[in-house]
Amino acid sequence: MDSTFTGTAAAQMIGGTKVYGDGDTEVRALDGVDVEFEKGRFTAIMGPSGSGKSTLMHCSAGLDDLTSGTVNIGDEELGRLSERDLTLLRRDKVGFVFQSYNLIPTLTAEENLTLPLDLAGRKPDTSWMVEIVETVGLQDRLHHRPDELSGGQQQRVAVARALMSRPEIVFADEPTGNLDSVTGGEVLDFLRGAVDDLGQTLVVVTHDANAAARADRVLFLADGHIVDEMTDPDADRILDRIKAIGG
Amino acid sequence: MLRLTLRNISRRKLRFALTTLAVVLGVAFLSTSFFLTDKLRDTFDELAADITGDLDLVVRTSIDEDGERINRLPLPEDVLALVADVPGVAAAAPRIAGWNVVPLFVDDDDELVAVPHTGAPQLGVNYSEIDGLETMFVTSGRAPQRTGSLHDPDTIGEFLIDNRTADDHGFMVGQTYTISATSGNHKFLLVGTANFGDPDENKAVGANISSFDEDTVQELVGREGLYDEIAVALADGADDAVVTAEIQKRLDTATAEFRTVLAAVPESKRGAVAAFAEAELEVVSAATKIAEDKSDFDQFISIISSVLLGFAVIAVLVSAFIINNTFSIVIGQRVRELALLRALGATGRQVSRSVRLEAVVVGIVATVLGLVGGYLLASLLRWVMTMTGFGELPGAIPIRPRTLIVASLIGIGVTVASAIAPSRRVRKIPPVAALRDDIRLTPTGLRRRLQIGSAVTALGVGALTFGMTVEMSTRAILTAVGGGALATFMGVYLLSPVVTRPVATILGWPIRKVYRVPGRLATDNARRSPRRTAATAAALTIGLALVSLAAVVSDSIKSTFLETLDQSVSSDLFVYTGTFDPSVGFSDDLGNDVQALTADRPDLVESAMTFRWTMGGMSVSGEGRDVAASELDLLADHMNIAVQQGSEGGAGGNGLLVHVDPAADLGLAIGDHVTVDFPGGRSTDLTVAAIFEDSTIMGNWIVDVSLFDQYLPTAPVSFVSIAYPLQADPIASRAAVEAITDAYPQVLVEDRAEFRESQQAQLDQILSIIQVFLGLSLLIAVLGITNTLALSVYERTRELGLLRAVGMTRRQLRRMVRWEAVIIALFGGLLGVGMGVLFGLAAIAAIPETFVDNVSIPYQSLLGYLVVSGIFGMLAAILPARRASRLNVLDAISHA
Repeated sequence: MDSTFTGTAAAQMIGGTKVYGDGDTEVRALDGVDVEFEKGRFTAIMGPSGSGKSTLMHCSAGLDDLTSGTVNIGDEELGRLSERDLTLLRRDKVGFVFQSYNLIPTLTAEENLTLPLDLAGRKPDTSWMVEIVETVGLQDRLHHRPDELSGGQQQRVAVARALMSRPEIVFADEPTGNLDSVTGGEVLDFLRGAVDDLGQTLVVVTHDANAAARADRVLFLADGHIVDEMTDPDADRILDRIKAIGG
Repeated sequence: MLRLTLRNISRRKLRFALTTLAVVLGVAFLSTSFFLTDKLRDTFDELAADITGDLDLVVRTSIDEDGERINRLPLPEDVLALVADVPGVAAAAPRIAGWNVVPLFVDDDDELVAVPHTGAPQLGVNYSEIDGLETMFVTSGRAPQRTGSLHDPDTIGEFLIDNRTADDHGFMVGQTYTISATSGNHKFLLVGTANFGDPDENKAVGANISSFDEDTVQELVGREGLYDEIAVALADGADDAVVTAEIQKRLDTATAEFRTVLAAVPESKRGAVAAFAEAELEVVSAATKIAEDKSDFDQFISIISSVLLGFAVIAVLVSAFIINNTFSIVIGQRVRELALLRALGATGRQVSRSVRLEAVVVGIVATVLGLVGGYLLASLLRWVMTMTGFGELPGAIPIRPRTLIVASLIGIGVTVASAIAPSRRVRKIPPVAALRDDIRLTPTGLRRRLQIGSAVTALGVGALTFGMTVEMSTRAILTAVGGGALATFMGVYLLSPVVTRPVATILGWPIRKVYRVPGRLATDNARRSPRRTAATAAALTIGLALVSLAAVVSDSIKSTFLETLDQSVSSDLFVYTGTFDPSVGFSDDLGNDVQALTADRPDLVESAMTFRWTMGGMSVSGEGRDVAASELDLLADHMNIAVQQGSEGGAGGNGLLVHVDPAADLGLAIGDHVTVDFPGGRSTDLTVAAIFEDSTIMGNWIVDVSLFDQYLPTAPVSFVSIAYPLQADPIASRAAVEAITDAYPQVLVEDRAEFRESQQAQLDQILSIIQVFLGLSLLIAVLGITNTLALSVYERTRELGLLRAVGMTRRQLRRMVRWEAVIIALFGGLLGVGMGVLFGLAAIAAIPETFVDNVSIPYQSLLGYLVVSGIFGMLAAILPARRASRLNVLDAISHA
């Protein structure tokens, strides 16, 4: 599909192709994907297993490199960065929320929260931290270690950490995949709030239509291609579309 | 199950390799000590047979059962005719072997030097061609001839030298050399080179052997009219027992006759030879002689062998800790996999058995590799020994069943024993663990461990205190202290997980300050599993405790010795051979010439005292005593032995000085007559002239030098102490002494400061050898840290991936792993140094005061050990840190 690239993109991929293996075992996880993630918007990526949605996220976030094509975050082209610069870019400009095992078990919630800043040797912005902590509702949990927090609380800490450094963009990979629907709903509320109240750019990979329904825009992936896109989605339409794609 | 176990091993190669390596090293050190000891024993057994040669019987003077054979008296040469005459004797050959026959040569720098003394004797022997009784086999040149008496200073004699000494120092047939012996320095023409003991191979091992014609060597080593022994070959068909009995009968008759004659001669006119003639004579079989020589060598070999074995045991102990720790960690990591087996229907017992089976496989593989490694290491050490001039050990290194059996028992035993506790725990894994992340194996509760650990520590410290404070026999004290140390170590090991967290926090403080997040995480990781950290550190603790123990004890010995030297020795210059081996000495001429200076140049040298000593040379109350001899009249001028009653001089040739301890034991008082026995069945009465307190330098029993001439003639002068007059210029005095000693390059001339320094250096050298050996155990400990870290890194893969994803650089990650290792190592180091100092203090209390009185703790060295342990930690972290930093972020995050 065509995308018009504007200056408002927090990240963009042009001609993104990722090939695993070669010869008979070759798998094209991404096949010439052009996509941009606009600033201040919540984008969901959906698709069946093996559609390439995780690969798209990993490559966009600088966790993996493309076989061909380019990825930009802000004005940095990831392909040109050294391993070290890529790490620093992830530290300073990207936030991550994974499906599980998001926190360092030996650090308290607060320490996990400030980890990327501490790694950079920067002082956390106190008022910003207070705001985020309030937003995710963790005030009285800050000095607990991860094993003393519930799954939902752990994910909220992970969300708060992703927001702490005011990154260009936050990537979340199935952030509610391990949670029950109520807790998952809460986490999604916080993510949504971060976009609406804090102006954060957010990309969420999910297979949950209810989660995707919270997004401003949904991208549908199949066989390494973006096959469809939906703005202002709702769960029913998403489910219909997925059925149509054959996922 | 077996197939599954083997699959498991082949799939996790790295983990298997790490597990195996610790056992391999332990087994390798153990088997090296066996291989090397066996080789040494074989070599010396062969040497014992070679020295004896093809003789059947040996005639010699007798010696007490437990007497030192070095003190055996020579016998009169007339005995030869007596023996040769006996029916059934085919041949009888005299044997003379004098010690301290040192060939001198001019080295590359044009300086006169002596063939260095390496520990083995430097012998002068007689050349004999009597068939079957030869000892030297000429390989180049010709046999030495008599050219004249050595009493004529113009005589240039002839000699042969053994091939190895000739090769090592470039001796050339046809050249004239000076040989320095107990009779003084003489010139000799080298007429040939020879193999000792075997026509085709020089069996001299480390000894330097020169050979001369009979009369010449008698003059050279002070055996005029005397032989050391007579070798007898029997005629074909002669009856061993009959001939032996006949020889003994003739010896006894002759001795009795001689004594009757001697009794008629006034004592003053009997002369020195009479003393030898008094000695009892005996005839023994070749087998007896070989057995005696073997047991002599055995003393030396068993020292080396117990030292090697001691270090091997330490190595095995360290490996045991590592292997145990490794198994625990690995099992912990495999909970899910084992739970899956349980879910699929394997019984707890089957799972548990598979773990033990894996241990058996690890044990077998490690034992085989360890034996191969041990053999290679033994070959390497043999090469080092050859290169450093210790002596050659030609031929294959023997592989004895004992070595294989013990190595297998230890290798497989230690491995399987280490796996028993983890394999028990495995049984309790519920099948549901396969589906869940959060089920861990719970080892024995910390509280139980705390209780047991406290009890064991208390027991150990109690035993230590008991040994340090209660008066008991030395052996009982050493047992209490040794057992106490072992128990304390085990107790502290059990307790150490309890203190791991606070100690790691303190150790990590500066690291957190400097490296912030990586430092913080390094500390947290070290604190995370106290048992793991404690067990990993324990391997290092063992080595460092021993190194620190050695440092404290040797520093205290050094301090005690140096203080004694400063306080009790008042002389100014010392002439000696550089060793205190009583059989190593030099010519009486040297001592006599220096003593002559006191008459010729009283302005330069006021007094010179000679010193001789020998082990077990004198028997008092049926027990062999180490005895020293000096000119008793001079003793007070040279050293202060802290006389309590009586005085050193004045008692003349029959005076006896005794240390307070044996004096108290035997109830001796001033003026008492004591009957003492000497080799050869002779005895005399001595008078107690003084009872003294300081035995550091002279030992417990001191007699006059004249007594040695008569009863212990084989013990040479080994030390000359020289005192200057008050107004003397030390430089001029020393020059006068050196003008004499220059002709004897085998001796050292040292003033007090130099002597002090060289004694200090010798003690330091011993310590550094101990440290090198113990360092090997530290090497294994380093491997243990590497092992634990590698497994921890593997275990924390996801966490590392997350850290990398949220922006930890590779460098920060490496730093984190590295400092975790440093904290673990420092933890082990602190415990080790602490316990080492404690054990050292206990050992000092246990060792008799004569050796250690002062307590001196070498703080700098101890601090150095801590620094070294930190560095070892860093080294141990290199590979795991690199591995951690190279993890692929995505793979790591999705790592199950």
